[in-house]
Amino acid sequence: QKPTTSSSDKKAETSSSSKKAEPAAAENASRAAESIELLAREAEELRMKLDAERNKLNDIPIEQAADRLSPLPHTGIKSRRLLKGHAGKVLCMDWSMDKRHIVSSSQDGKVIVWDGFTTNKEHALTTATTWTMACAYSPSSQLIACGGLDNKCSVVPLSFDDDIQQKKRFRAVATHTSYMSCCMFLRSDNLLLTGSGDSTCAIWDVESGQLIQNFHGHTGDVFAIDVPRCDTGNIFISAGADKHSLVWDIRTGLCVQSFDGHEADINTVRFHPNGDAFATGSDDASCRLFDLRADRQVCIYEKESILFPVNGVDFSASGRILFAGYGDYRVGVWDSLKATRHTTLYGHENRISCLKSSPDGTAICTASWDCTIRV
Amino acid sequence: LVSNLFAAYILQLFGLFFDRHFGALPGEESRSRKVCPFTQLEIILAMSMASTLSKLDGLSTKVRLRTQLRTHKFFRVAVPGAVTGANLVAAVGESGQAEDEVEAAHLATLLLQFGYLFPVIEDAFTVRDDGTLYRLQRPYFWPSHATQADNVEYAIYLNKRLLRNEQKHGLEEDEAQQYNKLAELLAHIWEFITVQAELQLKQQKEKKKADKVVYDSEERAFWRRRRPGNANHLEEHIQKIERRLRKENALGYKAKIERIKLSLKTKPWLKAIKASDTMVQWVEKLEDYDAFLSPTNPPNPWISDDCSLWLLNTDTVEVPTERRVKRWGLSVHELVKDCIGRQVLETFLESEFSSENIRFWIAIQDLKYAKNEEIESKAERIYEEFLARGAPCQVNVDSRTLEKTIECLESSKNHRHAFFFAEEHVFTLMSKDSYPRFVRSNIYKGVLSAAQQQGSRRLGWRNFVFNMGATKKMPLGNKQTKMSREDTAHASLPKQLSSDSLPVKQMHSNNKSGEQPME
Repeated sequence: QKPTTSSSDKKAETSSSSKKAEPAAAENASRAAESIELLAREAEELRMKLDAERNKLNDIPIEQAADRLSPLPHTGIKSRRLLKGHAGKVLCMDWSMDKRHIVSSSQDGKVIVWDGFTTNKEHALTTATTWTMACAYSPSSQLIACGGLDNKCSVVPLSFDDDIQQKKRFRAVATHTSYMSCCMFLRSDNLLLTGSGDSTCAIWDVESGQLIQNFHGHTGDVFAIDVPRCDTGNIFISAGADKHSLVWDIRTGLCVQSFDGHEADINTVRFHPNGDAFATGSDDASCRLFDLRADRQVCIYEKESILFPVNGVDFSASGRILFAGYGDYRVGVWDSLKATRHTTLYGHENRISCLKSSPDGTAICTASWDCTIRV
Repeated sequence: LVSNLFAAYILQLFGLFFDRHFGALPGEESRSRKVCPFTQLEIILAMSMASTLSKLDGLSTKVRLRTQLRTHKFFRVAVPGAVTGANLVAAVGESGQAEDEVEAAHLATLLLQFGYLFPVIEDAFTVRDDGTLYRLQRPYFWPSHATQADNVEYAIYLNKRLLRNEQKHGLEEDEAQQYNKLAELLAHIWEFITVQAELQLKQQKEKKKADKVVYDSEERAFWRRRRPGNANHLEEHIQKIERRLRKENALGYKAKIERIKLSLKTKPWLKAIKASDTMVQWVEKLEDYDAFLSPTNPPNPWISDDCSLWLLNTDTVEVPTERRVKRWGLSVHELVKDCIGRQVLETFLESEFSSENIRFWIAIQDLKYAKNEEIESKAERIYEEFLARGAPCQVNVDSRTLEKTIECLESSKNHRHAFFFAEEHVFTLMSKDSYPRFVRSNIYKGVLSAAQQQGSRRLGWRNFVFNMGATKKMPLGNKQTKMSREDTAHASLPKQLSSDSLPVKQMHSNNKSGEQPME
């Protein structure tokens, strides 16, 4: 069943309500306030109805289903590589599909491409903006996308030419009306998916810079997006300051599912390898697992001793392990099915800003405000 | 307490004065922001940091209750109101429900870095689990409370130091520099500052000696945390500061209502318990392929510093590894995710003369993610090749699907997703019909056994497939011959296989004159 209302209906409604604004200003102001109150009440009533419906469903936590599994073995996870070279806080990183190269961006506008395996820096680019909040590797590993406070996402081809030449080849592909917080290539070098502080997501044609589809529906800044690892779907997910995660249909631009539950901003979202579930990390110091088929939250990962926001989450290749990077400089290694914290990884000296598994699941990479990146 | 409140009140007044002159810029609704060039303290308490600080406040309060502060001896000097690192870590661990000492020490270090406690004798950035002495910072100086720490307060503090014993309280070089700069910047209110400094000192003198010593160290620790060069832990990510305070307006509520209505309408496809069960089963199946749970073969390059694992698993490798080929048997998604898997599937379907389905599906994926300017030509080609009447590779779709597809092609301008219905139909067909047959096919088994025998034979998968493909249609009786050919392959090489893909096994290792063909 597809939702029947769309953003065009919303526009029609606002234009009719703005026509109401033409007569006497004072009377109009009070009428507007009244209608807001009515809307607020309607929203509240619907929310209570939804909660009542949800409570009716008999819930058995996922931990019970996982009871028969044996606990996680000792994993012996250690920091294997330390990538030093950024002079500013590292805000974002992404893996190349070749499983060893990494691109990272930092607060001082620098974007560095590393061979993670040898720790050598292969490219160093300077963007015109500070706070380069997002960077992404294209599937062919030939392009890099990055952007942030400049409200744009620019794409630059990687080559071993002079870096000055490279600077000239930065091409703005995406343009938003507020900062760009997250970006990724959508399954090919031709399409770019972005999320922005203007509360929208959008798909862009890399070559022409044209907007292909945009996605309206969030009522707050979008902080994170993700696409399932399986090629066979047409959805992606976004989450942000409105504490909701929304599932979108790429084809129609409509929101097909919505999830709530977090008590504060959601900073990060990642699909489960099976493509039917996803995890989110939030300022409320918890991670949560949501199932698309059951249309609900199925698990929460939190602890009394964890007080800081979660800034990055990702799964291991089987989905059994959930890695969470926190603002208290640590990585929590969780048994995603038994909802217990298996171990903690120490090493960073400032908050972790980004965490991603490598494409073949042989490692995770963390980027931190201590200006380093660890594998 | 009274004297502190009084000082706070005066400073609050001053803070207000400064708000008017150097205060918030227009448009800064959700934050109060003061930048002190000398203390480098940007106090931008967006909601995110504020809530973390309030949790730290709570932890500190609990620690305070659990900690016994007393006078310790440090090289014949009495240190009042202090606690050893070991006891502190224990108290923090208990209060914060830490799992082990490492976590407890880490939590204590965080409290130190945020200014909730400090080392008494020598400054440091971590808490040591030993006899090092620490003090708990008074709530007045907690970061959540001290949002008014600005240039004026710092100037007052430096003045106080100058009014006191130079040996004990004299300024360090960088502090002296800052003092001079502040004297210039705040020259117009310097008299007020000096008077304030004198007043505060007078109140401090009225304290008992031990309290004076403690207060001095607390004040010093507070300002030490805010020196330029120290990491400012209160700094927020700019997206938390830049985020617009979205007023609860009509648009916002309407969007919320839409969302809740959508949630009400969405019926879950599976009950939660069933969803959990299927997830657990899925994860179990894949644990063998999880490098964090099962050792990889060859070993994980990040641990062994050897790239063999990656070299053996590229997209163009001749012989895919056994693990990889086994993975194709888990689900149709695992098969089509792998480009070599797709090729093998295509080859299998070719042998059944039904490869148009997979090729159609692959062409649609290519269309969906193609450049804008190529959409039209690609869509046209797909239609011509697969759907048009009399098309060379006509796929078998039911009439309704075909109708809907043609409708999409004719009505909308953008054909990127025109084949959506056909795509679904074809994929369902592949997963329900072709895939199960593929997994039972000789081609798949052949590729799997090639992978298993990879080490000794080094035969390309295509060659096995070629063989299998060629003999697939033969009656069952010949299956024996095929199997035995496999077994004796090392003894006699079929002539149709090209020689360069089949290095001949050397029977005599010391024969240097060239390769000896096998008998």
